[in-house]
Amino acid sequence: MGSNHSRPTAPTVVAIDTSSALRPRSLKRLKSAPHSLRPLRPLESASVSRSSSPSYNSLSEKHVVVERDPSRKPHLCDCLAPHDYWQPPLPTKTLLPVTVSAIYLPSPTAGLLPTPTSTQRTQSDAAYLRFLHDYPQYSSSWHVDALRRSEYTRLASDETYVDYMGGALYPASLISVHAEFLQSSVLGNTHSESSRSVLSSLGCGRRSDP
Amino acid sequence: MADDLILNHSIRSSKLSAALTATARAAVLSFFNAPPGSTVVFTANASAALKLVGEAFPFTPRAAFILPEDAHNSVHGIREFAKAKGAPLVYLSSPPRGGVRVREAFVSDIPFTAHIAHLDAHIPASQTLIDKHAPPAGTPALFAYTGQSNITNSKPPLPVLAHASDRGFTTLLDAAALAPTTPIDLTHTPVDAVAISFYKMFGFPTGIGALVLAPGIGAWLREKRPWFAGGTVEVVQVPGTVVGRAAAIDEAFEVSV
Repeated sequence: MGSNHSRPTAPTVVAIDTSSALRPRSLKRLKSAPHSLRPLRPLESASVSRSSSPSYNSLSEKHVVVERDPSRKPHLCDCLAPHDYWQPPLPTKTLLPVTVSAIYLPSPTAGLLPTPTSTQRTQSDAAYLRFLHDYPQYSSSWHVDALRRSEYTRLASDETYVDYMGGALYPASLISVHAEFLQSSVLGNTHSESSRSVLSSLGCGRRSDP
Repeated sequence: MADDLILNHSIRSSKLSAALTATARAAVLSFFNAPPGSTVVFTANASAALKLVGEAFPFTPRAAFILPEDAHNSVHGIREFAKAKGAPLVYLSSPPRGGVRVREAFVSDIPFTAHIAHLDAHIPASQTLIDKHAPPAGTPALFAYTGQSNITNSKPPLPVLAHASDRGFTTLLDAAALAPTTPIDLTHTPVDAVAISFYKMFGFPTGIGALVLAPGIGAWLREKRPWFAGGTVEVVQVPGTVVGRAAAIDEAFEVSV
């Protein structure tokens, strides 16, 4: 029983923290555009801070907050929207601190282009958008672009990994999650106990661990 | 996989290992949509998974071992087990760009270079290689198939496996290169044994593969194993000849410790 590491004190918590930032991202999550993969701002407008909006719905949430602000002076539009439920914002600058004209769609450039912080980058973005306009088929690979940006940052931007024999690159989150798990877990030989009894106790919700 | 873990916090050490292993097996079965009753045997790699079948399979001189020319070396290597037990080899010939000519083939116990002369030999659809060499009823025969060639990258049609199964063959699919690129549904495309390698699918960890066994195959093949070690047996008579294989099929094939 050399692999029995149980102590007389309270059992150590060994759990997978699914809320951790180290949690691997699946393609399913990528489809819902996590923050790091947020599409680029429109080139002309962009009064919404990327870092302060947790989701696409944040636009409408902000409007609700503005409408309900008690310190705000009454406005003509209050008569138009007297109820609690949200109504489409009117294009009044006083009421709407953000511009809502932009339509946010999953962008095919999300994985390829850096956040535009300079005029120069914006120009290259515009060039790439023109390229996609002329060759729209290149936008179909945006999932791969997003994966590359989130999981394969160790690849240089001008580096391409081509495999023919079946050897995949591991995603970064797989390594970090596994390292975290190994560092927090005490794993014994499965043959030290009957794995069948463990499984049955798991299935019945009973605890046989002393 | 981490999402699926529902771990009792009191589970530690060996029980944690066992619970995680069971979770991993279930994840593999789910990923390949294996039919209920299937078994996952973890191996060192896909080649080891193929060898588990090859070394245990009860080849006989009365039934052919069929395999594609355009196959991984680890599939070709099984022929050494077949030869040792006297089974004739039958190759599925390959078109020039790789893959499998399903309707053509030839009996082969002669050197590979001699096969080339037979490449143009045509066999009618009603007399495919599989039909021609179908084993007598009750006679075990193995049909091995490479899902994606690592030489030519071709993907021969998987329904051939169902046809071979209908004709009485035990089917073995080398999916080492196929699994990383193509969804495999073992309920829709039943295969008796599938060999896979995990690092080829997602890069890490290396050094682990699996043999996915259809219901019933594992229990049958377990009794044919030519060897035992570690936890693969529950009772060993010493001195003597009695060996009791592990009741759990996965344990009967996995050598640990």
